[in-house]
Amino acid sequence: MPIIYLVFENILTIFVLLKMPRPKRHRKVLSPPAFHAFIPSGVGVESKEVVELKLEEYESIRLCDYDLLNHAEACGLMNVSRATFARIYESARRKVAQAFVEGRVILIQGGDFHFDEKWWKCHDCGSVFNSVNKARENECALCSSDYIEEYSSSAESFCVCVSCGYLKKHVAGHPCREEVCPKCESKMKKK
Amino acid sequence: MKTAISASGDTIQSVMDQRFGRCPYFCVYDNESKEYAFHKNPACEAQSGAGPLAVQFLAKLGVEKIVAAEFGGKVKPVLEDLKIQMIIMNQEGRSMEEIVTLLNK
Repeated sequence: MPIIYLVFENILTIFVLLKMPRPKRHRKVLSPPAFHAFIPSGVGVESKEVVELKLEEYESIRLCDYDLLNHAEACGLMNVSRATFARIYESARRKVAQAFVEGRVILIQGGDFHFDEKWWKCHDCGSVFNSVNKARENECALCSSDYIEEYSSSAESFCVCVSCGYLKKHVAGHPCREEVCPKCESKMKKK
Repeated sequence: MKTAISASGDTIQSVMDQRFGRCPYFCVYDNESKEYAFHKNPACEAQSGAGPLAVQFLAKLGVEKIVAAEFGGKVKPVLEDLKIQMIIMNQEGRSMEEIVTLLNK
């Protein structure tokens, strides 16, 4: 018991000493939206910066304001604490409000989330579907087309080389600053 | 295999309804016998829990896929238990006829 306690305490101490934030718990998202963005009409949107709404933020608005669940029910569905849910929802509302008032494009992408099962998007008929039957995973459930793409369950992040700018896919658990650029062998950092 | 589509009317020309739980009709298409039938949604005017009620109704009919524009948070766990596949079709104005043609491909 004391050893386990010591190990546990050491991990905590490392977090405290290095001022590292705790890793984010992945938020569960039930289903992805079938579109990527909202674009306001009547204003020139090209010059303005877009608002990036994370998928977990989209989900929080959907659960609270569309399905009319309360925070207690919604946080259970997303597998996070109530306080975290409130924070996500708050951030989502602020982003949507900013986009509304300033006439910006809302892009729905990225975030720290996962789905319970695989989701696919068909480029031929525009439908989004989940997989129930493993044998039929390589074709669209609606139009049987094979031009389909899997929704990545978490947005990909990259490590970038400090000298040549080479991008490398980030592997969870391996800090970017410990990675070495395969091209010029210099240090990398988080993008 | 039977597929249910949320419909706004009871004819093959009617367009898809934007909501799953409270759509007035379901078009149930069987792609083996190539026949379709329209069923009135019993959960259409339910006070609450329209989604799960509609799912139970469709499960009794032997449906294995559901095409709708949106699935609510209460529907998802029920569909998972029953192993019914969800297809989200979010393009406005698609008629039953178009969806049935896509299913036949």
